[in-house]
Amino acid sequence: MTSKRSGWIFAVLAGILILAFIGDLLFGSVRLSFKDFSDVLLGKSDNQNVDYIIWSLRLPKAITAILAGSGLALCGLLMQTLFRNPLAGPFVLGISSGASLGVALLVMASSWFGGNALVQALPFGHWGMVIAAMAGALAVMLFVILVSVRVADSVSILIIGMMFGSATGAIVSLLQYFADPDTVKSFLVWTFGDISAVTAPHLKLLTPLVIAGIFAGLILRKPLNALLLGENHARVIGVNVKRSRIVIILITSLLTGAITAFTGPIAFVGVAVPHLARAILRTSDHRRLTPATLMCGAIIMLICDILAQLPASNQVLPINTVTAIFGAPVVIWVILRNRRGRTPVES
Amino acid sequence: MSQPQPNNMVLESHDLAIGYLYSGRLPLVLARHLHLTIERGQVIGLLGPNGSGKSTLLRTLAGLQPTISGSVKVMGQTIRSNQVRQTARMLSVVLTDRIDVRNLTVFQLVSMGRYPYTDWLGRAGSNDNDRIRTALEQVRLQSYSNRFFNELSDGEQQRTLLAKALVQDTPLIILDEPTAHLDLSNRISIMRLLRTLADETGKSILFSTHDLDLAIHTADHLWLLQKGGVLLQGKPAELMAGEAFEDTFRTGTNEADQNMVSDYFRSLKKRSVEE
Repeated sequence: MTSKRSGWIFAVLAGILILAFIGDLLFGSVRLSFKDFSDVLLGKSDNQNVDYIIWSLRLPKAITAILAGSGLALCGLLMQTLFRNPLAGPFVLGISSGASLGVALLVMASSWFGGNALVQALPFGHWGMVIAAMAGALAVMLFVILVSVRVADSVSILIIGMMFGSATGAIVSLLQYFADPDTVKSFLVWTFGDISAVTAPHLKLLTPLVIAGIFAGLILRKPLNALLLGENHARVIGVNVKRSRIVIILITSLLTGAITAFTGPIAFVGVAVPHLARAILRTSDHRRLTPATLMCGAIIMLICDILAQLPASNQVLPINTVTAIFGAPVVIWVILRNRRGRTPVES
Repeated sequence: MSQPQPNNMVLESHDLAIGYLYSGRLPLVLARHLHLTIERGQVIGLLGPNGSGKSTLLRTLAGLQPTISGSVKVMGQTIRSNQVRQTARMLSVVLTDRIDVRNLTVFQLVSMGRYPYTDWLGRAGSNDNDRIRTALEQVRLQSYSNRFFNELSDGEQQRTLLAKALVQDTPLIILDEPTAHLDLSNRISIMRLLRTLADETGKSILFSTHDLDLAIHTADHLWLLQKGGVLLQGKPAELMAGEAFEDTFRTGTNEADQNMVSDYFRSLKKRSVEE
């Protein structure tokens, strides 16, 4: 792995990221010509509708895609390194289950007080969902952090997190079981994930949270590299394993909780993208892997969002289905190709 | 790091008790009243039957677990299990825990030994790179820099980890069973390497092993840790002269096993007298 090669890869990734961002602004249920688009960017547009579509609908959505994609991918990388488990992702600690419980409680409660319509009619609208999800995620996060301060090893934390996630998920199932079909549906729609519901005022809160989390993740690259060797090996070269672990869990909870609260639980990206970045860069070194994971996460999310609009009518596919249906084969292909190319004989 | 030390002492333990502390239960003490010393450039072999507490002793000396009582000092400074950063500059440890990372080169892994000295990103400066190259030469892996660690043989992996300990630039290196899982020629090569490194660099080396024969030929001093917590120490020849080995390893439950151990040491002693 030469630094020249990784320089090229980062240049290409940056190029794709810019193209995907423009593509996400350009494509959508309302077809825009490139001229309309460039007019809006240059401020020469006299069409208020186009102006509105770009600035108030598509730009916030594209920014959300970048924030959610890179944030969740980073969390996946952090969890995979901390637990040294390739299947770990941002939701292993049960944070999405906590958010689901918050939303489920809100939706069900509002249905008891006079029908599903209340959810929409809540004084805050989408904010109600956000606050409920945030509260749920925060509750789980506090619990997981309390556990990680007390428990000495990561595997126990992983198991306890998963158990807590299962228990929370079961409560959500119970709530669904006793709720009426309409309420269940409006909850299910939330679990499909939706980045278009995030508007500019939401972004004012989401953006600083995600940027702070990403910044912290970038600072952690040195201890992350050491943790790759295992906790004991990390310790003997001078890593304060417990403190690093708590910081990693804190960052993951913050990022996952914030993103999930605004967009719903977006699966797949967090688990798959770190593998994609490793396969492309052929390195486990977080100094390059972390920025590559951030960029790949943003790219995948933007492309998935473009694909979600492909039906071209005013139907938009749920983002969660797109990430898995279109993303999974790509990641499988990249990893298979990479293994074959690099290790001809492996036994 | 060869600052002059009074009486050349690298490690000293004072009335050390090792074992495990439990909350709400009595501690499990494996050995107590240990007064151990390691001098500059010494190679010490730690031997003992399974379950006698060899790993516990090494882990305690290395500050990886707290002492039950007493103290451990390296270069005059007390080792505390909650001060990993300071400890990492005083002693380096080669562990048996398997490292299973893909896409990690030998050079990258060895450079991790510079962790206590590098900047926030862990970037190795030219001084660090020189040290890494020197260490790779010392363990005779200079042509392996860009090989992937998980594609090396067990013996090569062990030498890589030793290089990582060397670049950590500590007066003391502790190795937990460095010859486990290795074939005979690799076991001999690791042991000779430890001897050479101690002689050439003046570093002190403490290792545990089940290879009695190799330890006897390599180490300046042996520590024999018996079940029940008694630790016998001395030069290999002194310990061979008495019944120390028999007492330490005759742990079998039936007489036949015990007799076999006695026979083994009788032949070992005969051989070393003939030499």
